[in-house]
Amino acid sequence: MSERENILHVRVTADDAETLRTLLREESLDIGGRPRGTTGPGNEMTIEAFVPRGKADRLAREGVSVDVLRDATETGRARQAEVGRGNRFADPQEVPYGLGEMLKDKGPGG
Amino acid sequence: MPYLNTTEVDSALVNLSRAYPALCELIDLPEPSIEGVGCHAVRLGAGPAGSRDCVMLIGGVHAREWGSCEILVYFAADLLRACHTHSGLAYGGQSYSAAQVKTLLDDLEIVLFPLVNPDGRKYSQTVEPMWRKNRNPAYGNGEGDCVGVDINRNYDFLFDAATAFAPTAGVRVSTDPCDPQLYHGPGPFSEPETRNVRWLLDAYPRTRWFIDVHSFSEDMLYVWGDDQDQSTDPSMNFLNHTFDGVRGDAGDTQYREFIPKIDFDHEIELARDFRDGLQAVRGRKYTAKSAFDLYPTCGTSDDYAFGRHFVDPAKGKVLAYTIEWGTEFQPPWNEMENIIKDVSAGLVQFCVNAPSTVAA
Ligand SMILES: [Zn+2]
Repeated sequence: MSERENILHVRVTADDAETLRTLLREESLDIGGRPRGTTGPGNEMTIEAFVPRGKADRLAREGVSVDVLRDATETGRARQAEVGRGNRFADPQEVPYGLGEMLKDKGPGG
Repeated sequence: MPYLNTTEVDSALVNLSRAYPALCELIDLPEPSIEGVGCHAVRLGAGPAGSRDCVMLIGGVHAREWGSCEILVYFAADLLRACHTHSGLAYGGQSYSAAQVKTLLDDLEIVLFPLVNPDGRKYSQTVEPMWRKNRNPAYGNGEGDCVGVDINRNYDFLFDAATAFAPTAGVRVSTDPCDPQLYHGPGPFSEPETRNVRWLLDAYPRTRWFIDVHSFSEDMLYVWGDDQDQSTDPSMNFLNHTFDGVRGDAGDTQYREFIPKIDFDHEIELARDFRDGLQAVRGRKYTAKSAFDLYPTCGTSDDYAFGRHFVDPAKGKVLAYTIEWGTEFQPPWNEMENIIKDVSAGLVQFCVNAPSTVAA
């Protein structure tokens, strides 16, 4: 498991939509949720993807360029420090509150 | 107040149901996860179970999309607290009156299942942050990437992609148990996590709206995901084998998935309501659009939920959606709090307007 390569969050830019579709057909790319290709400038299409470090370079080809945005595995490991330890709701009386602000109505006409 | 671990998501639901017994009922899902974790949902509403039309929300399907669970837990907590204390609700620049909140819980049921895939979330939060699937070791050699099924490819909707889709479609699914992301499992509903969602839909037959909360891309997606939408040819649909092998190509007219015009209009209307409610918080511009874009999907929850009444007309019609919040899977918690407010406001707006899509 420790031998698993880190995953890079990259932006893939293709010359046009068809080049991008061809790339997506040929490579089993992890493109996250259902991110869209964003267009421009010109006919260029870009999409974000998650690829093992060793694969990032191999994606670049005629009509396709790859920019690394971040090391997603490393970022994720840092975020793991932001996950609760223990159980903040272990006490059955501990009521979860959301992030909305409670508004007191000012009464009729208020 | 950092991200919730898996125990905390569950305890939060239990405590909400204890704190607001008149408005919140704890639901035991029938099946534990692969690693034996019991799952809960909650039903919000002032009426008796099954007496109102229902909005169903699920989250925590993909392990690495952490914030989906928090969105649903805190959305529930806000509605319950506001209703209980006769308050309105504000998120940044967007607010809802006490009367709107009360009407919402008087006139609707809201069923929330915030953590569909507890094993995957635990693994992502403690071991491999980019993990997406569940943790079922049964189909590969049980090691590394050869563990797990993509729960959002395991529903019964065009499950046999090789038959259903055009070879050129590039459908985003895999039959390889070692695919790190998209393995769809040995058959539809092979996984307990997926079966729990189906059970919920069966147990709440008045579900008329279904939202699966994912990340990321700042989109509110409506059906269909297998091809572009069309409302002119009812015979061109996912049940019709005449169209096997031609589905899923972008930009062609050989196949587009049928959706009745009235449903299409309602789908778009509520997606835009969500988007507008969200944008008013701090200006984030989500896009309301069809789930089909660059490529098709299959076996997803939204297409399955909306497809149910075509398969079995005795079942109710469910307008189905997928939210893709944010711009990364695990934003710093500070930013996640902002996203939770954004999406909560969008969800309230969605629920306020949802009843308008049901014929009186
Ligand atoms: Zn997802």
